[in-house]
Amino acid sequence: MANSAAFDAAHAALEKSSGMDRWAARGAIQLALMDAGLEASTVSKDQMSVVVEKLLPRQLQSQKIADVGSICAKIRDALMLLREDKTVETADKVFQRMA
Amino acid sequence: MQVLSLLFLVVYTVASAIVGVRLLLRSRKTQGVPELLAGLAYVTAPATGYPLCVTAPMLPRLFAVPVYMLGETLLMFGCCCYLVFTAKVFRPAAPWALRVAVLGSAILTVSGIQNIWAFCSTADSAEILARARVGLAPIVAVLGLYYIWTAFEGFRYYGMMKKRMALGLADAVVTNRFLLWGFAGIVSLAWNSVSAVCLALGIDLRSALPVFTTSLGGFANTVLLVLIFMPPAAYTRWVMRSTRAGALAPA
Repeated sequence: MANSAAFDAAHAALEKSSGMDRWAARGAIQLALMDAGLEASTVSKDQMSVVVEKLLPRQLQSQKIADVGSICAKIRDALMLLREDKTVETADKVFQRMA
Repeated sequence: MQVLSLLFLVVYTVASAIVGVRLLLRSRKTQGVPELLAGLAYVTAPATGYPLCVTAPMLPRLFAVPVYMLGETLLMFGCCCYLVFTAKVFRPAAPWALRVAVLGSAILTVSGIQNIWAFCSTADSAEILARARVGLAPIVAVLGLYYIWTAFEGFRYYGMMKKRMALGLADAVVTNRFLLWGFAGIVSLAWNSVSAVCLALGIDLRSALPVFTTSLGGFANTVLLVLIFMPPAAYTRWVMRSTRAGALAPA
């Protein structure tokens, strides 16, 4: 299953700015997404920004990563630059429209 | 019991028709495939297909055959729409889900044809039942699995939406719709299980007990349908109030 553009952007930014290896960075973001009730395949830029602000710092701290604040700021910057051309239609959007 | 079955059936039929037509009208506005699929599913399966299948055997043979053919076709088409709806809405990025939906639809189509053949080939109800069992067993099995899938996705998404709500990423009323959707799956699974048992025991699915159970399940689903797709303002207020109360409650 392909990941969303927001997930890939956050993953790349975390890997680059924290010095974590690819799989550790991916795992940290995925755990934060799970805590938020979101999925890597459908998470949007706005949702990912909230996760990076509210949940990722705790996840990185638990992995003893230094300078969490600046890492998360870099990820948020990367997300701000992201252009989401196509977002997957998720179940919550559908159920919001249907009533 | 027959009067009650008829009453439940009428209520479910009318509610499904209203919900289905509303969804179809909405799909014209939004161009949304999920609304179209759900609308078609409600209009063709519970609103027209199932009542036609149940009433066909009560009609003179001249009318019974075309009515049953139409009913079974609509019923199976509606069930296929439900399957594709679940795959597209709950697993939009998973190719396996669409493959499962297509496989289920293929089984339903073949079994529906078998049922039509069983009904058309003889007027003897015992013989129809014996022949229809071949087609009904896979239908009941596919629908049973589908309802488990529906309930699973509803409750799974409800759990996810609750976590999103804590972050301000989800709305309480939409979150509640997933819980109701999960319950709708459970209710449908319950009546489908009764049909499965009846089938195993050789009881005609158009006889009193399975029709009553299906109608009762349909009535329960009506309540859920209304709360999901046409929630009264009082219910919406109650959901929002209880969510706020939960959020303010001490941990």
